Amino acid sequence: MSLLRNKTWILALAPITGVLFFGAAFGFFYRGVYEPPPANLVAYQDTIPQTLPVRSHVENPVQRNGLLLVDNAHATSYDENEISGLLARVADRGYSIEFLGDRSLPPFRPEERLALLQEKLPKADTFAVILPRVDFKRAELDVVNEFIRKGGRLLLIGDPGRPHDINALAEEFGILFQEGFLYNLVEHDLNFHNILVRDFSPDEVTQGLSEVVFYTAAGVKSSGPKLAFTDENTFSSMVQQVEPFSPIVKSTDGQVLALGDFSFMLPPNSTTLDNDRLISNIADFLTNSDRRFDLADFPYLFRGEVDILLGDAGLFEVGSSMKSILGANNIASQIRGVEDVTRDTIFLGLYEHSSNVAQYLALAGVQIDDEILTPFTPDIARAGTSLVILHESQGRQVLVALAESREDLGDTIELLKTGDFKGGLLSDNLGVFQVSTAAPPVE
Amino acid sequence: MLRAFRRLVGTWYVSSALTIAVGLVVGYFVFFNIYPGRPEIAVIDIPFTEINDRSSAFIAEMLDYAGGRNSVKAVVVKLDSPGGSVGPSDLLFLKMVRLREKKPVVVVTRQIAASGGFLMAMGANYIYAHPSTFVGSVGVILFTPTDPRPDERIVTTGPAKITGGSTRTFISMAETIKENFVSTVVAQRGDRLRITPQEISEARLYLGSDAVRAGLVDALGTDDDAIAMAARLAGISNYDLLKVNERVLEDCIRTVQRIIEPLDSEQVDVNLPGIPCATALFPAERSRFPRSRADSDLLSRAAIPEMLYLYVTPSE
Repeated sequence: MSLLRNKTWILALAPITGVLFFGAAFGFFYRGVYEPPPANLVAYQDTIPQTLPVRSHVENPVQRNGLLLVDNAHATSYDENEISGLLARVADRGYSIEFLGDRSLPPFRPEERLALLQEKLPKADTFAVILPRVDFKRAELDVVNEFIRKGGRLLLIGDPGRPHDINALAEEFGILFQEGFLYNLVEHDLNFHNILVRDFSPDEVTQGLSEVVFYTAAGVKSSGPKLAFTDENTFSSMVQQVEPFSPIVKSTDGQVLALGDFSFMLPPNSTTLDNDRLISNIADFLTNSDRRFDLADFPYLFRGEVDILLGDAGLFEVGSSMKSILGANNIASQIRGVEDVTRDTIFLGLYEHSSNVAQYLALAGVQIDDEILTPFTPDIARAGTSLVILHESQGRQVLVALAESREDLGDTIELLKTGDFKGGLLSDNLGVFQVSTAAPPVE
Repeated sequence: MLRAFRRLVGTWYVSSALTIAVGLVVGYFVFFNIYPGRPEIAVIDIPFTEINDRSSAFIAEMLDYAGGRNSVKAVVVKLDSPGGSVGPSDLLFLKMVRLREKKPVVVVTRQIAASGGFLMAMGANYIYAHPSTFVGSVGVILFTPTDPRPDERIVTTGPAKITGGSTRTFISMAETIKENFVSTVVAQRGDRLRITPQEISEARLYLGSDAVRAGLVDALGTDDDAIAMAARLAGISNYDLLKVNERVLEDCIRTVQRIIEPLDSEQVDVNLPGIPCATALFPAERSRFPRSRADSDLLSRAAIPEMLYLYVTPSE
């Protein structure tokens, strides 16, 4: 009662009510307390990409004579300076280099490309086709096939990072550049495109390699040997297969080398790991050709200076014609009186001079009596025909051209000049040609 | 009359009632005006947006607004972005993380939350996706400057002065940024992640439903689910929703008006550099400052490397 009489207690109602209201409202709107999760920020400065060592391959190449022909006629997707590293290595080995076509000219028509191939490939030892955007047509494929048949070597390079259409040519030799690009998310050189390859099969191209890096490579399939294999973490963006991918393969006969990457040759990629050694090995492949030349390759079958021997002095005019044909193809020659068995030689004579070249006739299985006897045909009349034989031994080429008369021999030289003699070939190295209307050449 | 009133107040029950009323008024005032206030959930709407310097500045301003307002107890970000520039995307991710340290942030993706947009979402406490949302694309696109040939008319004091470095340098930078991006996803998703870092670095796009299985997002859900989750994480109920876009734009308009009104119309630079929201008000206009190559003769002659957290499909 005294409490009721003393009304000071009423003042306490205000804070009590306020606290109760605050508590009720808090309970109405708030059911808990937010506990923020940790920020978990990454220590960015600790991320340091792996860099691979740079290695230069010092070489002492063997000198060889030969010609590398580089395709420029099929709208290729590279600049000539991009392959200068490879070409320098080829030149270091004594090979000369020519380009098929001229990039500064408008695109070639199919018949122009074929004519270029027919003109240039017969004199080449090796042929490099890199990133062609125009595929090879049937007639062109036939020319390249003939080149390979004669021991020529072919380098094919594709790259999924650049447009190209190379499979029409590659398939001729049992090779297929696969769709898509290879990648490795676990181990790579700065980017997942840039795959490391450490598994190689023994070959001249893989000699001395322990690890190379390809920069956006395609897998290449081949019916022949596969030279490099990717690891279990390397996949293709397009192709699913159980076995490893192979960015380097050869054809069954070993004459065609195919690579699924072009950019590994470009600086600074060219000196990463063993890439420089690989480029050097490719140069060795290109300059190690077993190219065999036959009559159809005239006059390119001669690689150095040529001696011209005449049956008698009356044939000097014919010899001069031959000399000018060779000169027009940048082949030096001189007319000599005596055979030098260490030099390439062209013997021009009449049938009556056949005893001068008896050994070459015998090696070709040819006899000249009243008629011409060959291993391939019935006897052939001497009148109106000419005989051409090519003999190759230890790198020396000897061409023998005989006819019944001086005029017929002159006509034979003209035939060789025009290249229209291929219809009279009895074999790669023996031909009998009709050079006048006196008689048909072959029965 | 006055005496009767005094007598009435003097009675204990009347004076008690009056005191209680005062207590209620004070309690109300303190609760709603001083602390903690009626809770709000801020809703930030990011319609299909490429994250660049302009859009990121405006988004950052909205995040700052939500973070700085006491009554906002949680934030929902409705996100639709294929990503964009690396720098602005990193900025928005860090902004989200800082905001998350104060109040929960829930992201609900719409059509796409890819690359830089996905990185931004990594700063949230919880991520909802629609079943058909595109999510992921963790990676970098790099446009390298071409190596210029030496030019006698241009004098530089170092081999990399014009380019910033070789192509290989930039590839290395891109790899570093990618590694950081992947590491960020791994760190932010933590135990919720169901795929490996290698799988993340494939830069795949995932459908929302696949993204849940992969642990890249937390659940399939709608805006309402996101708001409910934000309330749950913040521990609030009976909240109000605050549309941050409208508030920021209203504030912006007031600011712009305050600046523009005293000026002649010819003096006005409608982009008002330094006021990011103004770019949202006048998006079609171009700044007078050289912000892009096209704006500057000097910059247009130079090779500027460009890195993007962006999902794009190249057109022919």
